[in-house]
Amino acid sequence: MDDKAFLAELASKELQAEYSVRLREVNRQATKEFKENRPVLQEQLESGFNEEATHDRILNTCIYPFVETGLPLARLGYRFIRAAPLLELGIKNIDFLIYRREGSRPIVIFGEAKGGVTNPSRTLTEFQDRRQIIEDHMDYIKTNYLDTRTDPIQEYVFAVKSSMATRMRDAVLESPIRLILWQVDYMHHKLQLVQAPSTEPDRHLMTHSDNQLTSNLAVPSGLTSFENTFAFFPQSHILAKLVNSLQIVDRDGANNILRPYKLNQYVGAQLSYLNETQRRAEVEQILDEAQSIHFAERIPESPDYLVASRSRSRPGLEAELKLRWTKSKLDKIWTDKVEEKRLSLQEEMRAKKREQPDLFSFE
Amino acid sequence: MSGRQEFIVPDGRYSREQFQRCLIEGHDQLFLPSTKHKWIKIHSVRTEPIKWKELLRPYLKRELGDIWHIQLPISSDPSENVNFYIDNYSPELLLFYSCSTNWEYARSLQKFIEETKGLGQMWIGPNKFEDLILDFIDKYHPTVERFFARRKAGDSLPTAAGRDVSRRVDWSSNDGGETIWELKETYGLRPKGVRMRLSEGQVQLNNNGMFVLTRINPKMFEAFQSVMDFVEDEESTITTSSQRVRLGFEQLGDQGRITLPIMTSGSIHLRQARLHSALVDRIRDDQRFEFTVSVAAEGSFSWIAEVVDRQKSSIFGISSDEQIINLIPRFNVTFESFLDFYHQILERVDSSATFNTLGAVIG
Repeated sequence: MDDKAFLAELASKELQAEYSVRLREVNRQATKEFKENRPVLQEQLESGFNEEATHDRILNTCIYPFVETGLPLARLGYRFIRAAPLLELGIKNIDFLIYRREGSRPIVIFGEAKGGVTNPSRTLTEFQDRRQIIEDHMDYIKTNYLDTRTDPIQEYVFAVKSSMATRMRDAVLESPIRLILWQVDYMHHKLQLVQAPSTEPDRHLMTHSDNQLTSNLAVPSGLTSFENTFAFFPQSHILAKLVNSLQIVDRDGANNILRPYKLNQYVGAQLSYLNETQRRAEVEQILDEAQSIHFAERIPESPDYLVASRSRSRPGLEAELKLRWTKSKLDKIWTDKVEEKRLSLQEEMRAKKREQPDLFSFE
Repeated sequence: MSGRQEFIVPDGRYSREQFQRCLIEGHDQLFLPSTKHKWIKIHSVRTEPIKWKELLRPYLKRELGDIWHIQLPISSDPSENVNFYIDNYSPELLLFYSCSTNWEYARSLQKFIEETKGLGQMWIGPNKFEDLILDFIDKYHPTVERFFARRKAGDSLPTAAGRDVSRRVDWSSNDGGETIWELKETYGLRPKGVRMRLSEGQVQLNNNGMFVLTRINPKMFEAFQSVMDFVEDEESTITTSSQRVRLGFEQLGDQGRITLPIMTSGSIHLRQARLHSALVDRIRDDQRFEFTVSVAAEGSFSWIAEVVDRQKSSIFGISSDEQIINLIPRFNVTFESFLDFYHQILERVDSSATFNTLGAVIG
């Protein structure tokens, strides 16, 4: 409730005066707290962005050998189909889908990329839940992603950073869950299958059903891959999408112009597996965010957007964008905080008002 | 404009040989009286097979058999148009004959190449250019009268003088055939252009694929042919590879309803230098290519970035370790962006670097 309406509700002069005084105190307090916490909050925002960037690099390294047709895995007939399957149904599920149509029986690989794992057993349970959701949607997947009526062999891959590989493998072996583990070393451009020890009876459950795929992925030096197959994915951090959109910003005299038609084409090239509606939603999301952080504004009577920076270089634009995004998010955190405190003050004052005897209580 | 440089080839149908013979036989009569320098300049331009006709048809004045006579504007005044005669030397190479001045060339053909997607200068890499000069000297024993050479600070080429600074020299002397190598050894100056005198006339070779014949006789064309023979094979292989680098799509499924992304990436392989942060900074310090989302990590060196070619507005990604720079097509790519980027690596990082599609290197 806004302050004017609330003051009216309070009715009593004393309560109104008290509310006004305490509201000022609340604001003062919130500002102070925010100032103290600002560096921590900023760090949290940055690390959130960095974690997702790491996630994208792992995901990219997983799919590169299935997109680059000059590499052996693509020659085996495996193809990257899409990232973030089931997302259009509002289901946040696994990260990627790989498919091989040729061969005696088609093979579909569902994969999850994980940047950091703090609790392996919880992560595995979560993965198991996602697997169940996929199985529940198998008909949808066959129709919409694979265009087939045949039931493919289903395989589930969990991909982690190399530094996590052994820990994750042990966690899998200790659990009743069986899945295929990949390790990614994106600094060295390597993708590799994590194999169970030869003494492990369930060892075969942690390899691919196609021996050729297994042997390609199991080479001791790892399979060459790269960590930026695509600039971003549907599940990428919004700031990553924004930063990459700078690539298509045009210079027009002294101004920088963001053109939705071009953004549409660029997003289309990066997320070609999305349908027209989904792609448009991605473009809208980018444009909305650019406006809400005051980085771009619609030019009157034009479809285009004026970028709020006249920097002549793209790295300059990138720095300005990151600055505005961070500021806008911090501002939001601050105003949310103030609002939360104001509302709780209002609650408190309401309680006080209820306790106050009114005229009729003297009867 | 006074002192207009121009020659006019009579109507007819010419093969390459007939065209050259016409130039030799017609010689003085072909040049306009105002022409001060009766030289033939040949600019070599990279293109995509067949596509060049589409790009140049709007400027076509006369189709003379295999030779196209085109006129490129330098202003809104058509009388200032510059004449070029195009010989489609090989599927990916066009030779533009003219007697234009540098001023005319820069405002007509050079500008046209810079503004047109699908055309690029035929750069000759530093090592290849030196070999070309040696080969030419070996075959024709010319007097090297004049040369232009450069060194950029940071070049890995060791020098007797030490001192890592940028240098340039425009040298004239009758012992140029020796000094050219002495200056390279002492000061790390690499030749970029060289003028050599034969008894039949002078030949000038530039590393941007521009050749000048100061007289027009059979010997001059023979010498020019030997230059092309020396350069063309290897360079055309690189051009063909660069033209295969692209992001494409494939249809899949029982009814072909699934569209999925496939790509061919390019790969620059460093042979002598190893990439490190300082070199990355040198690559990034550039007018033409802009780098965003650039992250370079020391240790086991890696570098990722998104690159915009300001001239051709194509976008590609970079994923690199210290030895392989992988070029990932993103949006609007065109082969000359990759070729020109590769040329910059040759000039600034490693003159022995090679270019190919990634599949050809590690597939």
